[in-house]
Amino acid sequence: MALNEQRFYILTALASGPLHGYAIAEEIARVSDGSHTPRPGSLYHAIDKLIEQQLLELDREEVVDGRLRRYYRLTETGVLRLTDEATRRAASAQVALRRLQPGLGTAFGTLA
Amino acid sequence: MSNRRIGRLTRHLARWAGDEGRTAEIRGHLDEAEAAGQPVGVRDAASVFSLVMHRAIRDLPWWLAGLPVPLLIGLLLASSYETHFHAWDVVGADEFVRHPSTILWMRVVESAAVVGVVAAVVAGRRLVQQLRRGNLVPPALFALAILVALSQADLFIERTAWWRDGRLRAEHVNDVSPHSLALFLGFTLLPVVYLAAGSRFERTQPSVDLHHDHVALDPSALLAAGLPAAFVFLGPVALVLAVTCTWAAPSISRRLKWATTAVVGAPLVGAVAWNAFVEPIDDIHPVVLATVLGGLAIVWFRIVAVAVQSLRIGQASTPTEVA
Repeated sequence: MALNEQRFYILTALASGPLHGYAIAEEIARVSDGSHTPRPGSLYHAIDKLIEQQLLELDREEVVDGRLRRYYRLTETGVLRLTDEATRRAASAQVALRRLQPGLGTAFGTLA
Repeated sequence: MSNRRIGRLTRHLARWAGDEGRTAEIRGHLDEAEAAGQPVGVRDAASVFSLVMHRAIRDLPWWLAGLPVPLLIGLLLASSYETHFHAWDVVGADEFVRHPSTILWMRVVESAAVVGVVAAVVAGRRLVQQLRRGNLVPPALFALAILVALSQADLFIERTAWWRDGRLRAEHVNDVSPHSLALFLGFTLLPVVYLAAGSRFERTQPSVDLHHDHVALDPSALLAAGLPAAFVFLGPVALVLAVTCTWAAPSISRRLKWATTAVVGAPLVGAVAWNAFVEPIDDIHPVVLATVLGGLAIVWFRIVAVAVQSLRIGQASTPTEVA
């Protein structure tokens, strides 16, 4: 089953290393150029689901300025899943681009 | 509402979003967002509230989510029509049909149906999860309970139509409609429900107070009539569950499964055959029934205990599926 957009972005945010909840949200906003800004409820719900699916796990806990930070990291399964999903999305995007190429060429030809 | 208040409310909601760690985590998240110049807004509050609701539903045990529905429906239907028929005997059909207490009780039952639908939606999510995990027992229990509840509802609705049409006649009070029975062709337990419920009602007949020209329905009397009926009403469902549990349990041998099915099924089939061909349903002695039902209940508890244990062992030894 394909990962939904939010879960894909969470896994992507964690691909470069463990992050805590707020940092994940910030990273998603950055990676998606601001098109995705997960709210806390949906973010932690998605994190719970990903842990349930054994794609994420708790890395460590820290208290910074009296605030609890729980860091999450990808599991081996999570890395494989993200790789599969990214490959699948890239392949789909390639198909779309290939199909657009003749149309784009015609359009440019017409314009020219 | 100011952002500060929304922030306070959202932090308060976070208390129910999970364990203490999760609460602290969400509050820390909100603090960091505010420190970074992103005040907590309504969408954040709604999001945390949604998480709280989701957890509440997810953590609800399937039996807690599922069982109140048929229990409530059974309780209300059983107490309502038995009490009302008793009242009808006392005050007469015309007055009974138009009486405010009848109309009020109808509204209560209708409201209960709405509550039941909502509860079924809640329970449904849990049941689908159970099904996905390969656990057939909770959905089977729920389906059976709903079927029995529907059969009761069918009777109730039919009789309600009689009341509203003013066509209620004495001969309709104690019969079981062919339509209802047709709904449960093959559901051999239904006559036992009626028999058992009938014998219980004889001992716990609700009191109806007559003051001049109105009927006052005593809530405690309704409960007195409804509770035993509701339990008896669920009893046969539990018996069918016993068979379902047995067949769902991987560690029980096929021989034992068939033996259980025969032990539970034979008396029930016998009761139906007896009712159909030998004696009218009302003539079965309550003591005979109590003995049969009591024996079956013991068998049921034993089987469920074994089946649940087997299912737990089976689940524990099954590797977790990765989606």
